[in-house]
Amino acid sequence: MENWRKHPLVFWAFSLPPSFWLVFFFLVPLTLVWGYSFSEKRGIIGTELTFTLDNYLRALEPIYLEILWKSLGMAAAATAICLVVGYPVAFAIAFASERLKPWLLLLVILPFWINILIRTYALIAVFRTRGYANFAYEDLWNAANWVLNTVGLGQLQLIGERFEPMALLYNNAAVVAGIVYAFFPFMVLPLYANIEKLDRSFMEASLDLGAGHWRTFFSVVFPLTWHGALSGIVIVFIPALGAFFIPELLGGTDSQMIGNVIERQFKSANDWPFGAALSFLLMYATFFALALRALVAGRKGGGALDA
Amino acid sequence: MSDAIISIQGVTKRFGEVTAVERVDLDIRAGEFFALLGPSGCGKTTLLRMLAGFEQPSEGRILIGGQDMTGVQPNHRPVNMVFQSYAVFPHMTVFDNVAYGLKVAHTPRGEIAPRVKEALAMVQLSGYEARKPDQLSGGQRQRVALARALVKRPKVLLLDEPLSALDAKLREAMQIELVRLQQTVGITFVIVTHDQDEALSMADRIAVMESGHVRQVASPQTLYEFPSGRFVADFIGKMNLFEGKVVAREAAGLSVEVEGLGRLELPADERAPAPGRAVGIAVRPEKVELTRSAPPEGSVARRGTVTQVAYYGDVSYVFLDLEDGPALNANVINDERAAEPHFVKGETLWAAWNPRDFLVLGE
Ligand SMILES: Nc1ncnc2c1ncn2[C@@H]1O[C@H](COP(=O)(O)OP(=O)(O)O)[C@@H](O)[C@H]1O
Ligand SMILES: [Mg+2]
Repeated sequence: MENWRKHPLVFWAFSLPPSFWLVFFFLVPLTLVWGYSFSEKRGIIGTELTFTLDNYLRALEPIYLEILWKSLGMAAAATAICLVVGYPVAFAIAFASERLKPWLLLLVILPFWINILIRTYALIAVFRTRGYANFAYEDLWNAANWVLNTVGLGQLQLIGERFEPMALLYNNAAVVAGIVYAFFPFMVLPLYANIEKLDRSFMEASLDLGAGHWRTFFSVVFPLTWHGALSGIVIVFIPALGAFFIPELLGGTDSQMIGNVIERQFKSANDWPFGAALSFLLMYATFFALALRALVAGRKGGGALDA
Repeated sequence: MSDAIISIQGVTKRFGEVTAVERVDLDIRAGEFFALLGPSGCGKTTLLRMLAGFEQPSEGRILIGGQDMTGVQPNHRPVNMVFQSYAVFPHMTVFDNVAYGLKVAHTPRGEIAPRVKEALAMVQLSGYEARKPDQLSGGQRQRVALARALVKRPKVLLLDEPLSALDAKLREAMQIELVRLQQTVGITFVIVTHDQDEALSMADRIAVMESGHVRQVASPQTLYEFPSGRFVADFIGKMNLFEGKVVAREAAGLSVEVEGLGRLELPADERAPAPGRAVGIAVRPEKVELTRSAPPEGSVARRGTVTQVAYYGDVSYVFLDLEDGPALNANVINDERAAEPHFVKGETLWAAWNPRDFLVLGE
C-alpha cells in the first residue's frame, strides 16, 4: 500500500471500519470508565462526575494496597514459573524435526480452543481432595506402602499410617498454578519465535570454544533471546495481574487478588467509581511496565537484542 | 602415518536418505595448510563439522592427535572453528568475544588480557577491543572470529568457506594473510572452499571432493598437472577435453584415436589403459600454442578458425573451431604492450602442442 496516497478513497474505505471499531468499542468505553473513576456514587445506580480523587485515595488504603502487593507477587511468581518452564519447552519445539514441529506447536495452542473457564473448572477436578492428582498420589502411596511392608519395614510407618490426600485446592499455590496453566502459551510462543530465528552457529561457536550447555545458555542463548522472554513476561504478567475468576475458583478465603476486588465493586458492592479507580490504577501500572520495557529494549537494543 | 594430526578412517555420514560423505579416508599432517575443495553440496562442510564434533559419523572414526574422537563433544575437542557466518557474538565486545573461550576454560585472570591482546594483534585488530560486532566490517568480524579461535591455541583450526563473504580485493588480501598467519602460528589449518584458486594458492595439500567422495589428495601442482580423473581435471582450472579410444599400447607410448583430432601418439607409462578402452584426452589451454605460420616438424598441430577472443588484460582466451569439428580453447599471454589484439575473430591459425602435455584420463 505504498501508493495509497494515489487512491485516498480506497485508503479510507479500508481504514474506516477499524477506526470506527477502535473509537466506539475501545476508546469511548475506556473514557467512560475513566470518567467513573473521578465520579461519586449517587443513589443505587447513578454516578456524578465531580472530579473527585477520593476513589483513588481509597484505593491506596492499606487493605487494598496489601491485596495489590499480593496480586503482584502471585502474578510475578506465575510469570517466573512460565519463564523457567517455557524456555526448555520453546527450545524443544525449536529444535524438533520439521515434521514434529507443527504438531508440538499445535499442542501448545490447543488449549486456546477450549474456554478458559471450563479449563479452570477442569483444574478443580485435578486438584480437589478426590481429584486426579490425589488419585495418582494415592496409587503411589499404596505402591510404596506395599513395598515397605514386603521388605519388612511396614511397622516403622515411614510414610504415615494411612494415606492422607494433599490439600491442593483453595490456596495461593493453586491460584498460581491456575494462572500458569492459563497463560503458559503466551510465554512459549514469543520465546519459540526468538529461539527459532537465533542463528544456530552462535550456539555451536560457544560449544566449539569450550563452553558447556549451561554456560552456552546463560552466556549466549539467553542474552540473544531476552527480547522474546521480555515479550513473554509482559503478556503473561499483565493478564495474570488482572485475573479474577482463577483466584475465585481455585483460591481460598485469603487468595483474593485485585481483580476480585474490582469485580466485586462492579457487581455485589455496586460501587462503579471505586471499581473504575482500581481498574485504572492497574492500567497505570501496566503502562508503566510497558514504558519500562520499551526503555530497556531501546537502551540495550539496536544491535544486541534484535540480532 | 605417524605425523598425521587428523586421521579420518572410513567415514560415512548419512542424513536420512542423503549420503553426504561416503567412505572417506584421509590423513592430515601436523602443521600443514590443508584444503577440502569441491562443488557446492559435495559434503565438505559435513566433513568439517564431523571434525569439530557437531556431527557424528554414521560409520568409521576420526582420530585427532592420535585420540579417537567418537563420542567426544565439541567442547572437549582440541580443535576450533571459524564459521562461515563468523558467528561473532553480537552482544559482546571484540574483547569479550576473544576472551570467551579463555574464560570458559578458567584461564587465570591475569593471563586473559595479554593473550587476547596478542591474538588481536595477530589479526591486526589492536585497538578494536571495545567495539561491538555491529560496528565492524565483514572482514573485521572475520578477523575477530579468527582471533577468537586462535587464542585457544588449538591443535587444528577449521575454517568453513572463510573468504566467501568478502569482496574480491579483500579476499585476495586475506588469502595471503591467512597463509602468513598459518606459518606464524604453526597450527594445522583445514579450510573448506569451493573456490579452486583459493585452494591452489593457499594450501599445501588439497583433497578434491565430489558427491561425498574424496577423488584425489595431492599438492596443488600435482592436482593441476596430473589430475587423477575426469572430475578433477575438469574441476580444477580450464581444460580442453576430447573423447578417444586406445588403439595400441607399446613401451614407447600410447596410440589413441581421438574424435576430431585423429590419431595421436602420446607418451605413456605402464599404468596407461589397455587397447580398446575409451579414454578422455585433455590438454590445458595455456599449453596450446597459436601461430599464423605452420609450426615446426615434430609438434602436433591442427588448423582452426577463431570464433571468439575474450580479453582479460594479462591473458586472452582464444576459442577456435578446429577443421575437423571440435572446439579448442587456447590462452595467449599478453606479454607485450600492444594496442591491437594479437589474434582476431575469423582468422585461421595453427594450434600446436607438445604430446607430453596431453593427459590420458581413464574411467
Ligand atoms: N543437517 C542436514 N540434514 C540433512 N541433509 C544435510 C544436512 N547437512 C547437509 N546435508 C546434505 O548433505 C549434502 C552435503 O552438504 P554439505 O556438507 O553442506 O556440502 P558442501 O559444504 O560441500 O556444500 C547436501 O546434499 C546437503 O543437503
Ligand atoms: Mg558448505
